[in-house]
Amino acid sequence: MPKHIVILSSLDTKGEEASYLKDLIESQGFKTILMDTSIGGEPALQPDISSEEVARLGGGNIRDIRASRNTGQVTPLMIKGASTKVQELLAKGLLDGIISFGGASNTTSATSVMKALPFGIPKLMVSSTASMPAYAAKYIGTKDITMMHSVVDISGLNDLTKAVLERAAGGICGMAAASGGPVKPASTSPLIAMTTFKFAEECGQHAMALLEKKGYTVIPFHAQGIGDSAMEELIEQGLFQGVLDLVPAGVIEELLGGNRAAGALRLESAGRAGIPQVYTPCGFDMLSCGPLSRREAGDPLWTSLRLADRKIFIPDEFRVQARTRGDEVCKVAEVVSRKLNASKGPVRFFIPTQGWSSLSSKGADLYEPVTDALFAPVLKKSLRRDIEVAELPMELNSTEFAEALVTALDSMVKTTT
Amino acid sequence: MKRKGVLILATMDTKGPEALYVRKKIDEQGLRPTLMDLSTRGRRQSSGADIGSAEVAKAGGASLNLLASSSDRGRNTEAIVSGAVKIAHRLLRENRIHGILGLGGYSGSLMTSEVMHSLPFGFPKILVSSAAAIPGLSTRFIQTSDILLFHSVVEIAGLTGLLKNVLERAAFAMVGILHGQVTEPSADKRKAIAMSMLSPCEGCARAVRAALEKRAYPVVGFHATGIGDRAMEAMISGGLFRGVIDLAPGGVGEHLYGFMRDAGPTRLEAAGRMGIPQIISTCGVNHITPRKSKYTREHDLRRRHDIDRLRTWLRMSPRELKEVAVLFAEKLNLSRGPVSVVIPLRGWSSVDAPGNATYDPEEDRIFTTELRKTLKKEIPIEEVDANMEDPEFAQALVKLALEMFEGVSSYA
Repeated sequence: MPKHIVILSSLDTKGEEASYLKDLIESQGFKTILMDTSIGGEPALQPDISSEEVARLGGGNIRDIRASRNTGQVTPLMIKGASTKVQELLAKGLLDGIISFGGASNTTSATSVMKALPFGIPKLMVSSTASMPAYAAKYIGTKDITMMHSVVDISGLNDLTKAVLERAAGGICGMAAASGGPVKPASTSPLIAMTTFKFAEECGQHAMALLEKKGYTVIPFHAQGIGDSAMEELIEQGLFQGVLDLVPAGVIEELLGGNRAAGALRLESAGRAGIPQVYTPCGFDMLSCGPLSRREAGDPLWTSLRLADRKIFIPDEFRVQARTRGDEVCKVAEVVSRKLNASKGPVRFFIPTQGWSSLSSKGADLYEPVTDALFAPVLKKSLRRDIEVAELPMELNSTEFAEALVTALDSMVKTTT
Repeated sequence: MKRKGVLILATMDTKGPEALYVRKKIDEQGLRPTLMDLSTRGRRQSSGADIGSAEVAKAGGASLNLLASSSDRGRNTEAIVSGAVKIAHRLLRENRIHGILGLGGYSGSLMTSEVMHSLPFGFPKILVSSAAAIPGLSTRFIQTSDILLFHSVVEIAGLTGLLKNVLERAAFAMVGILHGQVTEPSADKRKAIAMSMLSPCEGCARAVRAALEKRAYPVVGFHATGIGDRAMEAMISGGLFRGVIDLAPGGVGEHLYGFMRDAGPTRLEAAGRMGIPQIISTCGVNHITPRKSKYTREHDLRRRHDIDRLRTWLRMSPRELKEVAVLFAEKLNLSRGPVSVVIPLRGWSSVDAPGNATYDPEEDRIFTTELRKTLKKEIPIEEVDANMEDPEFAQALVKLALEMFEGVSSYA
């Protein structure tokens, strides 16, 4: 069966360009499904899925939408409708790749629609605003979207815009040829999701090696806010048999407003999925608050939390880490407990009492055992009884600690499956 | 037929197996891979790369020993990148590479992207990066280059099923691009017109384009977001265009004050230097766009207009209008070719259309008056009694464009 590529486009103004792209893709042996997401007027080219249908699926009416001058209000309806439609096409086996092109407005809408599709489905956004500060990272978010910077506006067909559309067509066709649809868990080797970052590197490496020796495949995620949020979504996609959440730092960063903030839903998907989870408090000992220039600029985060008065670790100008306070680690213990108490599967929490990261072990810049000691009592008090908390007299970045984590997770996964 | 070549870039000391996997996939698909090692630590290693880091360092004027003994990672990186750029350009001249594919985390992506920036528009560039979605970084990776930035989501460490899936899609994307149809991006110099624009003057841009294309002038649009208009300046300097319609030169003022649409210090200068005719208008010139997280109290008090969820424009102050007008004049006065300025009298975009909060033709006149005072005499300023998005305004631009561009073609 030929593979299908969905083209999202505003056909009221981009008919000619969409038609060129469609022909290019079809000439490579793919079928196309052209979806009109325009809100301006009648399409210049007959779509396979009309803007009327997209609007209806979004709970709107295309005539009202076209009449409205409030694009901020009607765009979400079109995004919702298009997202519903692409999921429907995927379920029917009629979507093996998705492509769109445009400027700021189209890029925002089309990437929102692409985000409704699972990891592994090729997603290509050709955008004249791909490189724009403040937006570029938002377009991608936590998804495996490819952004192609068109440099020129895709308006009209000239040698430059043609060159861009040709490469885009080649790119999406190539990706779709390689793709076997949404990535599914491999049956041979159970997959474990693991969060890690620089200050837990040794522990992460030990744990990964040990797990692999036991026959697991470990997928590491960088716990910098994006990577760990992406992990949550892939857990929802049912890819993993267990989670080693070495660095749940995103929770305290979210609470205090740090750079690694991972959103309100961090730590929740594994519990919902009912898969075994093992935690440490790594990252609750620090707050990512760089760049350093924020200190001089009287940045609200720095002034409200009085970060300048704290122990601070400054490896370079950008990656600045401030020590967290006792009230803050107690607060995060409560928040973590609330999230983990909702878990449907087994959970265990391991606390290395001689330092939660390379920054808070003895002699390190953020070493503060008195503060660390406040965490465990609150956690034990607020966690459900059946969630075991183990305090081990060792450093996080030690072989013994990594072994303890892996032994626990291994036995939990074996009893669950 | 000779196999097309793909240059693969990676730091083999940290991403060896992953890069070799990509190399294998490219090879299997009938393309000819050349894997270049960008490792900076100066370790001697048999990495499986086709071009080892010793050769790259040497091309960059350093040696492995020098890298190994240096603790200055920044300098090592510089040597490797400059060596990689030299080698890439040599391979390009020898017609041995037809696309470039890099993979990396934070540092690897930065290095790879610098090599890509040195390669011409239209040359296929794919960067697979685990750091693609970190705020601020994607912009640095892409800049004004036509890169495909592929977010790997998972770390590029360990050949798991998830990562293989990503690397295969990236390798096949390159295969698809190189097997597909290719138009050489050599815009027809005798005719092509560059036009800057923004969504608040989209209607005007569309009407102007349609009218000019009917007269067989291809119009190449650039989104004046600070990046697109920088790219336009660079392509004008590259001699790609015979004329410019600069509908949205707001990046000049944004540079002066350091706001989001900052288009760099040389915006509005390339066309004058090249001596090609230019028509200048004013969409967005009377508004500023500071990053919302950087708003001062004074910004909070300004008249504003929300374009969408992400974009808000603030009205410029009279003092700023004056300063920006002077800067416009300084730049345009250097022009060696003909220049015309066209200003609408009823708002300079759909943002400051009559009835909207930032509509203020009285204050707009401060800019016009100052510009008239400082601009050299042979540059005319035409005022049109309409909004930027009204058809009358587009008609005025088209009429002028046909006069100016056709006039020039007679002695080109």
